[in-house]
Parts: sequence; C-alpha cells; structure tokens
Amino acid sequence: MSRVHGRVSLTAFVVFGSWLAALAARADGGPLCAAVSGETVSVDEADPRLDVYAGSGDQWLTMDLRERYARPSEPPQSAAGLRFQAQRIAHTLEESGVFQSKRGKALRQRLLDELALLDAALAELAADKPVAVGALKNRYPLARLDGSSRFAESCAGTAYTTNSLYFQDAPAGAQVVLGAFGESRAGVPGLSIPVAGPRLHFVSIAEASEFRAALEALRALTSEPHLRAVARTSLRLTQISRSWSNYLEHGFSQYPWEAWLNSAGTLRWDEAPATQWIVLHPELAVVVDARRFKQASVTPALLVHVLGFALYGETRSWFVGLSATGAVTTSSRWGMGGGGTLHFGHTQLYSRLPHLSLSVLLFATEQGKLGPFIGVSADFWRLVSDSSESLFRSSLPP
Amino acid sequence: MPRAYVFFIHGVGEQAADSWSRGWQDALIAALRQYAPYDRQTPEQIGKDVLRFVPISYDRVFEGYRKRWVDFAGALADSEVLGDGPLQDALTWIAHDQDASVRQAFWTHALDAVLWAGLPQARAAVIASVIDQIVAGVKQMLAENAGADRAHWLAHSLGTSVLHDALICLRFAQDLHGGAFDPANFKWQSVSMVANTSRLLRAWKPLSQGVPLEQFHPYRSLLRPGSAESLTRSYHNIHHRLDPITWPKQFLPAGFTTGYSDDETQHFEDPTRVHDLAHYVENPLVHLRLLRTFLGDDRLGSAAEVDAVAKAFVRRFPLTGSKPFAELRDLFDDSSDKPLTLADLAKFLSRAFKALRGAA
Repeated sequence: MSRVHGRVSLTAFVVFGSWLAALAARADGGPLCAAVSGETVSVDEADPRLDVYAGSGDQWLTMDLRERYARPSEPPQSAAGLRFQAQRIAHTLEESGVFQSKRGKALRQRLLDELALLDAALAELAADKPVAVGALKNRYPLARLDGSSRFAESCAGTAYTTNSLYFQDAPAGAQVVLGAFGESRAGVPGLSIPVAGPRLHFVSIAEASEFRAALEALRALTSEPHLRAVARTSLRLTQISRSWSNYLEHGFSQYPWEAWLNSAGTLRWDEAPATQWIVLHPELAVVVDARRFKQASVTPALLVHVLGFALYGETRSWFVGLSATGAVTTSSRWGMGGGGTLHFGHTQLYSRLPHLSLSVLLFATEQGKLGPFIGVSADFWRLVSDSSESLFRSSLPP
Repeated sequence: MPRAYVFFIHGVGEQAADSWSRGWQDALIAALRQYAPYDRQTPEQIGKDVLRFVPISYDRVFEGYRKRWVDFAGALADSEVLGDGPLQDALTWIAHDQDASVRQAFWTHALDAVLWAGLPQARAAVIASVIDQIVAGVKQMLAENAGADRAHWLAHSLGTSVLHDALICLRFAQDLHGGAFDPANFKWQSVSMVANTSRLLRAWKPLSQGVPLEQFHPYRSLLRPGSAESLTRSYHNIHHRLDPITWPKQFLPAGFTTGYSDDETQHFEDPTRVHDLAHYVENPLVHLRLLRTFLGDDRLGSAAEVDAVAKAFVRRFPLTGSKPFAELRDLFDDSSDKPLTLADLAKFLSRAFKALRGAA
C-alpha cells in the first residue's frame, strides 16, 4: 500500500469511523477502545509539520504555544513553586479557546484532572522545601506524564506504536491523541512485514498540539526533582564504579583461585568488597640478611603468601594486608624460610608506586640456626600481567 | 518532539572504544534512511534530531581478567588449587582441547560469558559499571529532553543478560536513587533483546541486598512488560533461526503477552554473520520493529517501501536453510532447556564462537 498523500477524504473517514466503532464494540470495552471509536480527524500527510506526534522535531510547536506555555528560566524546586507553575499551566489550558470539539474538551479535562491530582499531591508536601522524587512517587507517579510507546492492544488484538498514549496506568483510562489503524502486510514470501494504515487524529491538530505543549511544559517542571535525584544518584554510582575499579584493577592482585574464593562470600554490586583473602599467592622478592645490612647483599627469592587478608579503605583507594608467608631463595646457603608479610598499596598512585610487600622471614642456615631476613617484593602478578605501557610512559621524560 | 534515546549494550569480546557503537549507529541510521521522510535527511541530522545513541560498555572489566589469566592458562588448568569447582573444570577443559582455534575462541570471546556466569565478583563489577553509565545516560537525556522520557534499549548477546540484571539491580537500589528509578517515576519505553542470553546466563547468586534471587529470573522479573510494576513498557525478543548462541535456554516466555513481541529471522548469506548485530539490523523485519518502536511510529515504512527493501534484502541474503552449525544444533535437539554446567557452557560457547569467528 502506498503512502497516503493529501487530505484523506471525509467519506473515507466516515467509513473508517464506522469500522473503528464496530471494532470498539467488539473489543472488551476498555477506555482506549472507547477513545478510538467515533469521529476522527484527518492529517495532511503531505505536510508532516502538521502532524504533532509523527517524526521528530518541534515544528508543531507554534510561537503562540511557545509563549503561552513558556517555561520559567529557573525551574522551581519547592512544592509551592511547582504548584504555582502547574496552576499557571492549568489556567492557560482553561482559558484556551482551541478546545472546541467534544473530544478535544474531554482531552483538556483529562489533563486538568491530572493537574488537580498533581496539585493535591504537592499540597501534602512541605511548601518551602525541595520536592523529593521519592516523596512525590506515592502521591503522583511521574511516569504518568510520559507518552507511551504502546497502544490499544485490546482494540485490534495488536499493539500499535505511538507516543501519544498518556496516563496509561491511570484507572480512569488513557488519552489517545492519534494512532495508525488498518494493518496490512508487505514484503516478500517468507518475509512478511506489517504495514499500518492511515494515521488518525482523534482531536484536531490544534487541540493535539496544545495538549502536547501543556503536557511537555508540565513534564519539564516536574522533571526538576527527578533530574536532581538522578544527578545525585549518578554521583554516588560513579563512586561505586570507581571503587570496584580500584579493587579489581588496581588493588592487590588476585590469582584465579583467589578471585573464586573472594567471590564465595556475600557480594553486593553497590559496594566493592572491603576485604580480600590472600591464598597461596606467589610473589618474586629480594631478601636481605638482616644481620648483614651493611653488605647490602640481596638474594632473589620466591615467596608464597599462604594465607592472609587485605583491608581496603573507603572508595578502595588504599589497602593494607597481612599474610603468613613461606619462602625459598636462589641461594644454596639458605633452606626454606617462613614468616609474615605486610602488604600495602595505594590504588590511585599505582602507576607511580607499585604495591609493595614487606616480609620478615626466618631462614634456616647451614648451621641449623634460624637467621632473620627482610624481604621486599612488588605485586608480582600485577606487574607482569598489566600492560606495562602506563608505567613505561610515566617513566619517560616530559 | 523529544528525541528518542537509544541505549546500546554490546555482546562478548573486546570492543574497540566507540567503534562498536558506531557500527550499530550506522546500521540503524542506514536502515532508517530507506524510509520517508528520513530518506531526505543526512545521517548527521538523524543523529542530532531523531535518534540519540548512548553506548554502554563493560568489556574493560573482563579485559582485566583476560590479560592476567590467558598467560597462565596451562598452569591454571593443571593447578589443583581450585579443587573441583566449576571454574576449574572449565579451565581444565579449555586448556586441553586439541583445537587451537577453539582455545582461541574461548579466550577472545567465551571467557566473558564464562566469567559473567561463573564468577560473581566479575558480575558485580560489571553491574556496577553498567549501572553507572546507564544513570549518566538518563541524566543526559532528562537534561537534553526537557525531562521527557524517551529511553529505549538495544542489547545484544551477552549484553542482554547484563542488561537484565543491571536493570533489576538498579530498580531495587532505592537507597541510592530515592525512587528516581521506581517504575512509578521512570519506565523504559522499550527493551529490545537481540540473541537473548538472559536465561542461559541467569544469575545463581544474588548481588543486590534485599533482592530475592527470584527477581533475577528472566521470565518472572520486572522486565516482563504489561503491569504498573514493569520496568519497561514493551519487550522485544529477536533471534535468527541459525544463531547458535540462541539455541540453549531459548527465550520463550509463555506468559508474556501485553507489550511483548518475538521475531525470528531466517535469511542469511554468510552463516558466520548470523550472530552479528549489524546482520540482524539489515533485515527489515528487525529494523522496522526497532525503528518503529524507537520513533513511536507504526507508520514508518509504506507498503511500497517495505516491498522494495524486503526484495533487496532477500536478493542480498537469499539463503534460509538450516544446515550450518548442525553439530551445535544437535546438542540441543532434544531440549533447549537441558542443564549446563559452567564447563558445558564454556565448551559450547567456544565452539559456537569458533564457528562464528569474526561475527561476534
């Protein structure tokens, strides 16, 4: 079926209106179907500027509507400020001479009813304090003011798409400004695609435009507390996300078995873990005989942190940890060693200052005595597995 | 008229910054420009005035694991430290698989899904990152759209499961948002799931305080449209008959009616592309479903336009057979719902992504 151009004839609409009325009578009598039946208004499809809800842009918003529903430069935050502005919108609607048709008047009344509900909800709040979206929620759900994408399924057994369905969840029924009816199919065998029929306005273009202008002005007003809550939420969520990043990407490294064990307890997405188990965690280190510091003789060693834990600070920007450590050096003079290790690191300074572990170890000497050693290691696995590019770049001269 | 904001969330694998969402945007805009009146608009005009895109990515979390674990693949598999846990089973299998291309497919693609499914720590971190980006996107939309809510979702593959859990977690984070994301105050206009894995990769451990695990069940969660408590006004499930990723735990909700649609596509030219989102979007059945939903306009595409686009599409994608990936299909011939361990999942996804190499 080709796109309809020009003004759809009155005759066609009489026939189509009868079909819609029959359709509505067949359906289960919901308010949407009731809205569908009866007279309809044609749309000049050759001029999309006249179609309030089709396409995009705000060509439908006339200068007159812009002026009458002008938004305050600073959206009010208090309940009293919101009430004042909402009442101004209601007053403009009541005074409007645009709503002349029976359906248009009903449409305006529906919006006035909503404004009255909102006004009553705002009246229950402290007049001079910023409106909290949570406090408003139970009195007047803001989602009612948003146009819906779904339309009148009970009317034709099919969901149509439109942004012109409002107050969908309200018990008194929704308002349908326009829709597209008379579905057919197009395409090729094996690829059949529905194609909607002509678009119908159930009020005049002028009525639909003013309804929309009033509603969007109202939505812009009420969005202020919503936007404030969303902005506040966003700040907090960024902190949470950053703390997860600090913990996983820049915290003390976790081998796969440690990642698994550290997932075993209670985990919350909205709070990165503040503790971390360290289990069988190998690290390369250098150890120095504590009794011969002056000789500055260091020996490479492999440390295994057998069991320990790390504690993280707020936002997981730093950690300290303790673990019981076993060790073996590359020197044949020393046997197996053991002791304790202190781990510490700053997750945000990591690119300049790798995490360090400081161990106090006792090794068995050739004489069978225990000798004290100090071990120092960087976070070995983090170092070898991270891209070294950032470290490399940071070491370059500016 | 307020613009529609389309939130994108990608599937498995490393996603080059911005380029993945650019590909999606280009595919959608190219599809839209086949229909009046958008055929007279430039892509820039459409991107500015009609559809705004908000890409959400999470691959950075998995990349952190990937780059650390891949070098130790063999050692990890031979290590007994993990015991007989499901993660160890998966790693052991992959390390010993004789097919190098399967092993490669595991590390480049399947690992993300395995970590998402099997490592709660990774799942929680992904959710935190995704929710952070979602709320930033909503904030941007409300500010730019004078408060009007025109937010839609397009999720692909692993992204469908990530999106499901993220939206549930956000909904129940009342302490954080103070009701701003309660469905009474905010509803997503639509959620479109392409190659839906939300059942396959369903959460087995709660990651949100006070939210029962039941809420993460894709059939029973608040993603189900049609009620005042629904998080979305509509839910669209889209899958290709040949897309192997959609075969296990198919998304076939019996109780979804109001606001729900299911579209199965069948045409293809190169079977390795059937999982590719751009391939899905080229199909007029899919892109008209998406674009009509995003624009709130069922009249997009006249019969003549749809005929022409469908004919051109079928010329380019003439095949409809079911032979490709028969070995993978046989695994689920008896039941799509057969239980899968994490190792089974790793095996299946590695083989599937090997078959789909370059298309994920």
